[in-house]
Amino acid sequence: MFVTLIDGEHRYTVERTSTADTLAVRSDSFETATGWALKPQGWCRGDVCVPVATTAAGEVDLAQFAAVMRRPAVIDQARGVAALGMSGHDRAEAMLSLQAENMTFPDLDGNPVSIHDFHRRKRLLLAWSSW
Amino acid sequence: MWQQLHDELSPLGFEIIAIALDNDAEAVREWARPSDGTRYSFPIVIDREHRSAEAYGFTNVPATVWIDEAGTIVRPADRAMGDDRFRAFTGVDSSVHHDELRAWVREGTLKLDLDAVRAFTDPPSEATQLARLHRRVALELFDRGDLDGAHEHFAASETLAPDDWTIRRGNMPMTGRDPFGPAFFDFMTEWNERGRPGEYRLKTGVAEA
Repeated sequence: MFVTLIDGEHRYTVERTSTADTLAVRSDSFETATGWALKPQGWCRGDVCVPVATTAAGEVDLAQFAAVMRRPAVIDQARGVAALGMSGHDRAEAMLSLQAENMTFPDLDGNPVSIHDFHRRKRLLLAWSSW
Repeated sequence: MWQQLHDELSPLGFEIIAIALDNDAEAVREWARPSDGTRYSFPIVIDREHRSAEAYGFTNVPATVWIDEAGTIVRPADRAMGDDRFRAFTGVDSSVHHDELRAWVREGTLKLDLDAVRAFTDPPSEATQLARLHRRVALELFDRGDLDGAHEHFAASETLAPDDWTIRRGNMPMTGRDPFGPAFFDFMTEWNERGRPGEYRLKTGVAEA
């Protein structure tokens, strides 16, 4: 059994553990996908660590992980899908920094286009839709 | 008109990136072609999960954000029409935005300083952030063919972000509702009656009431 974990532009498939009452995944599978590993000092990825009180060995409870990271999450336990987001507080801080966040999207032919492809040019983002 | 502005201003170091808040290229194909059958010369991309809406504050379309050469946002999200086709409906004189755009690209003139850009920026609530996550879960379930599951999460996103058109109206094509039909008019009536909450703050080209 696998869980789809959505995190921004990333979409990971991680191996589910058998815990019945929470959505939990194998920690080795989680680390391979996301880069986050549980170490004596807490959750670590690269040089960044976030202290954590306790967690069951070998598995990651996704709701607990989100809480430790102070990130909002929508977890559909029955269907095996979780989405991690950015808090409104953090999003406000990022927006008010006025630093344009780079993002990459497919064009109509499926080729990736990034906002920062046009660095050193003035850019107008035009949001529109068919609806 | 956007193509015309792009032709006029791109030699001066300017680019338009059109971001469709739509499900896939198929959904936008008919909109992504100018009426004369040519192709737009600026990139058109698909942002299915509305990551740009979250990062740049798009709550409705069409809307723009301006980014300068150094990557600084120099104008926050605001409604901007390509022409005056919908002026009677929107009250927006499209030429005001276009003229301000020309002044920025040609002369570097900006009406807003960075403090004003921040003041007109409208960050999302915690509930709206959660709504976006429900929407992303819904899309994953939609792709799996679990339409009941998808509808459940689409509905949750609409409850959490009742004022956001990219969610309320953007969900309609994904849930079998016509975004130009009764569901849309019901939403618009309700939103107007509630005082148009969450509307863009800048209101470029909108005549004073």
